[in-house]
Amino acid sequence: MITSTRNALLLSALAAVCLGAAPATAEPATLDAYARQAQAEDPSFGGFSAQRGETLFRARFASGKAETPACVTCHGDDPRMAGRTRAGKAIEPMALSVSPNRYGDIAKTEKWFRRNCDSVLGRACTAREKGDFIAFMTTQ
Amino acid sequence: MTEHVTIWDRSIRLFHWGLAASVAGCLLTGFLGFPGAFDVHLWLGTLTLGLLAFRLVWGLVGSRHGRFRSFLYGPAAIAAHLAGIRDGRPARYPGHPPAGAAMVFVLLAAVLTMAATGLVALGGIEKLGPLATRIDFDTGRAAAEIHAFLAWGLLVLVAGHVAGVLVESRLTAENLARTMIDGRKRVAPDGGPEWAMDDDAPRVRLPGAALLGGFAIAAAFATLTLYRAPAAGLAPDSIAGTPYAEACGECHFALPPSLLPAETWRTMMATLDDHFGENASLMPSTENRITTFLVNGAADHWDVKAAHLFDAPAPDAPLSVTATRRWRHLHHDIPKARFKDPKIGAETNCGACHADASRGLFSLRDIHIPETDR
Repeated sequence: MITSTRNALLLSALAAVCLGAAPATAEPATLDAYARQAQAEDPSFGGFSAQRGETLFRARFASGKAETPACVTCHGDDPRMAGRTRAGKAIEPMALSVSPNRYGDIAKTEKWFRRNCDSVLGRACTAREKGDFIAFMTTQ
Repeated sequence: MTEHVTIWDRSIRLFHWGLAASVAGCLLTGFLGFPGAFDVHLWLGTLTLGLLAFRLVWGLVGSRHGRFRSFLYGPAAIAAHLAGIRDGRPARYPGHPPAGAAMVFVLLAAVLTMAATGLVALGGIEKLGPLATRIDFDTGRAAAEIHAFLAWGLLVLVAGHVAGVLVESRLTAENLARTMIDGRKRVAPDGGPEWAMDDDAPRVRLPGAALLGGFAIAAAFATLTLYRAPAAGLAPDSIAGTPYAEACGECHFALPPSLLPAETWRTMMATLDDHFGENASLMPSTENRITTFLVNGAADHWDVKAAHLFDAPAPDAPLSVTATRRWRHLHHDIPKARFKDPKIGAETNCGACHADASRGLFSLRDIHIPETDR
């Protein structure tokens, strides 16, 4: 119990270092949970990277569904701006600075990673990818 | 020395121009269908029905030349009258001449049929009006088809009536339209006692103007109350705020369950991992709850028009409403680009224009297309 808490603290500290120059506007508990998972999935996990998160956010994938080749297809190029679903509904901005409660609910966060990683990448995302993604959004 | 006598009483004249105006208004609002036209159409249609009721009573107990019996002519009389017109010397009649009388009966029957089919269509399709609980959708749709077809017939009849009046006026050197304003006609040289408004038959005297005003107000009142919204039980409840609307409304306008048959909803919910090109999967418990909600409210359980219109799925997109031939036809006059405007977003956003979409009504009167830039 004590060990896992210490691990989590250690990891989030590590994550904070990896975020680089731009300071996080918030440090969601969700990120801690993903850090624990990432460590379990890959013992060589060395913390999240906002830069890798941005690459993931902007990359185009051929492996997913044809209608949704990238995150930016619906979320837009600027995470501080609202996106738009293919059905025309506005999507709350992804950046934590604009939507402070964005990743607070882990069940909701998981629901959307489950759906959207399958839609865009054609597979589930790893915990590291999810953490990188949120790490990027905390810098925005 | 020419003598003029009053032939048409005031009520008949008021009726005539009242009917002309309301029928013209009905044709205009029916054919053009501009925003707000539906309410005006219902109001004028109801007024027309009131005017017809008055005319039927007046045809029995009104003044001499307004009574139906006074202008019932057989085919021989009509043929003789038409022959007179052909020769340029039609015989003069104090009341309706035979060909004109035939036109009066045909016009009255046509307008009556229009009003009746209109009410049946309103009840069956929109679930509004006095027949809403008695007429099913299919009957209403059949009535609407007759209504739409007959509208063209009525247009032709009105044109024929006006042409007949012009020809007859010219040949008899008497402005017949004017006689319907002041009621007076020039007495024929050999004019007998029938050249008068009244005879010995008992006649009911009604305040025509007050009656017509009353009809107009009653019709407006009926439009505002009787036609306002379907009675409880005839249409589904709004889905706003339900777990279904919350879950599905995250990405798109949550369609009212009554829009699609239960079978389509089952397939839709079983294929959420590839939902119109996206993974929209739910947790199994949520998925089951929403499937039950959709199946229970599906088109199979309702007789509203939206539950009947999209029952022929598009072969290449069997789950889509907007891909159906009927949806495309109903929206064909709206440019595709307009749907992309941020105020609408997409074709599937029914609620952007249909204020009652969450109830699954899609009433003609509740269409409010937002002002868009495109």
